[in-house]
Amino acid sequence: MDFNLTKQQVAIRDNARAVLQNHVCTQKIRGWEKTCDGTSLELWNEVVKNGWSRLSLPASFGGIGGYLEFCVFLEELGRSGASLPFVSCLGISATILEYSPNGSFRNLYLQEIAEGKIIAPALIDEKSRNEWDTSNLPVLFSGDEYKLSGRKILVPFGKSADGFIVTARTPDDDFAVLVIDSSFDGISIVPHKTEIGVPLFWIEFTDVLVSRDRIINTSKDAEEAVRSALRKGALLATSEAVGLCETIKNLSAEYVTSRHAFGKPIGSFQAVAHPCADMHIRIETIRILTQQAAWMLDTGKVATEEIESTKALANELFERLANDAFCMHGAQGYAEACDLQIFLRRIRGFCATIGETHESFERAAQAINL
Amino acid sequence: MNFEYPAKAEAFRAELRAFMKEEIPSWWNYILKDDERSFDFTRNFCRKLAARGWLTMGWPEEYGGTKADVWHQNVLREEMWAAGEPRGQQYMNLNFIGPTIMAFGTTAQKERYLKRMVSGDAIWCQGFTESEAGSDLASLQMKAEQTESGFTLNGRKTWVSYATFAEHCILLARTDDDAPKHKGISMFLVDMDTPGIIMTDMPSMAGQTKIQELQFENVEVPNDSLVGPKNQGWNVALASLERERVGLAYSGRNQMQLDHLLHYVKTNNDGTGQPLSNRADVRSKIMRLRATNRALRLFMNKLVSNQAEESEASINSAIYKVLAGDSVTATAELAIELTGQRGLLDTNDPMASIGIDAYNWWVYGIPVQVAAGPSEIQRNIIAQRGLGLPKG
Repeated sequence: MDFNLTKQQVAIRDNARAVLQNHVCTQKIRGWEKTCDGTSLELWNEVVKNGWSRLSLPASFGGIGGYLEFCVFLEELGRSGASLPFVSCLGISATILEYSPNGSFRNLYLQEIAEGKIIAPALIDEKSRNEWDTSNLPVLFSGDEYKLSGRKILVPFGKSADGFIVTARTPDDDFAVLVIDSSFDGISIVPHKTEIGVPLFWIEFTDVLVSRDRIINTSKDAEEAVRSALRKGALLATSEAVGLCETIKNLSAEYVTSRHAFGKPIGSFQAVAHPCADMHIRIETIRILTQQAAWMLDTGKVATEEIESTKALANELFERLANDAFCMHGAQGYAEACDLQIFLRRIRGFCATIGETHESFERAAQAINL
Repeated sequence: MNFEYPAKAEAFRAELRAFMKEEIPSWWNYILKDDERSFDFTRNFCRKLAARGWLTMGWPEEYGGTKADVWHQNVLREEMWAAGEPRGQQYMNLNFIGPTIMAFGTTAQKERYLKRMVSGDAIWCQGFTESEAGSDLASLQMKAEQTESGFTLNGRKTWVSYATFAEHCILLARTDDDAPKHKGISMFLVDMDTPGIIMTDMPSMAGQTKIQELQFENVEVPNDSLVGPKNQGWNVALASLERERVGLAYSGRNQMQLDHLLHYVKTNNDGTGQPLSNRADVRSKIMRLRATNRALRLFMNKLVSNQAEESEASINSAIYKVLAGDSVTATAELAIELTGQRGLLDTNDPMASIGIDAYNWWVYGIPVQVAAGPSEIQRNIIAQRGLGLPKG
């Protein structure tokens, strides 16, 4: 038993914190949200330069660590509030690629990710609720190629993406995963109207021609690849949310210490202090659970129950944490000028992404044959 | 990071479980449960642990321990709590009364008290709380007046467990009325057969005779009953309380209960004839508690790890205590919800044969929220020491 970070993990944490503090501030985040990408590609390039986009990749693609290291980094990313495609591209797309038996495309796109290209997961059909639903997007024969027509929605960082992982259904009614470039003819990318701080897009495929070898996985293997990728995505998103909540806690502690009412700092009232303490407890609870789950993955153990139930619990605890933070800020917390709202919107998004509460608990229950 | 117990500690767990299977009778339930057989059983059980060198395994060798590492010690605690703490009162000797005497006692006190703890014979009780001094312990009013030969004790101690059997009491009393409240307190080791100690039952939800009030009327104790320096008792007590919390392995018992519940929902139907485990709400509730209990166990292990590294642990200890109260209570509440009205019956009721002691889990579980430092106080500690919020 050892609850200490390794020297390497401490170095990742400290470097990430320093670089992100240097390049990110809440004023910049407000600006990035308004751009057509909804993020800062300049910042993305900066973090790529530091090697963090390779953290969880296989060693042959320059990967330097495991999930624990990645979680350590993502917590820092969350703390900064910057919205970058780590969970979607490194967590989900890269894992789906790793599962592919198609060596050439797998290696090509993993290499691109290692070099900082963004491959976005386009998993949600127009009529689906979330990433975990299967896909009915039809892939049709078109001579020697396939033809793709239809929509994918809620694609994170879609505008900045160089390529997409697309789930679909083959003419034989088989579940399939395709990898395509965003430069292909017939693809249009439209921003969703949303305020959750992660840029989301819907993608219209109009008779997009795709060579047959771009179906990189099918059937049960493809389903398992997507499930495994989403599970890892859920773990990584939870780590990022731990960082977001750390900042919510710090902003709240600062506010209730400096804000006076009835002649006292409001943090001296137990009705305010105790929810602050609960924030700390909730964050520590989720942090230690994510660390354990990441360690399990890194040591080759099955962690389905651990990841799924941690995501579900994080949804519940962080929802309450965000709401408590809002309430103790009073009306200030509702103002655009208050930094808190940036983080509250992110947490709102987190709780409904890559694992809703009930569904995640249900997957955890299935994992123990309940 | 590494989340596994050392292999040797796990091997010890297996050995311990085999021993406990042999030694713990089927009627044994839980340390707080009223049962006239409990005292003899727990004392004999401790003597057997002592014979194997397990009772005080974590103590230094000079005091009769075997210098077992913190993970072995924690395996012992986890397994004992999972089994309802069959060491009875003596867990307190090992966790904090003995270590307090080691740290602050005189050579004569160590000689007199520690040996009987090592052999599993000593029964102690603790007199800290008073009716007007619970969370604000330093406002305690019991007086210890210096006399020529020692001290005269006057006052009342409440919520004293195990007093009917105890040979000694470790207690706090005020030795200086004029000093600030934290600086006028001293700690004493008092023989329970000293004249002037009057014991009254404090009937509670745990039963009629489990908890006592002690009244001290001109109780004369010698000078060498003082442990630690006079008027420094507050610091001695703080060190004791910190040790007390690490010693409580709530997650072991919680996990045992959750395992029982898991089995119960798979093997019992709801009103529609479907297994309870088919119900979505039941599945979510069980998975939630498994997750919170896993966090509780991780925090306990983190505290143990802090102990191994001898680093500061007060915030983690407070988090652990809050999580424990919440988790133990929520598990018991779910047990009652799932077992329905039959879950409210005592296990001795002939109609109660459902294998889940739901009501007793609750009635013995809820004190975790208030014993050894209530959750509100832990939240104050976290807010003030952890987050730097101003004091009220």
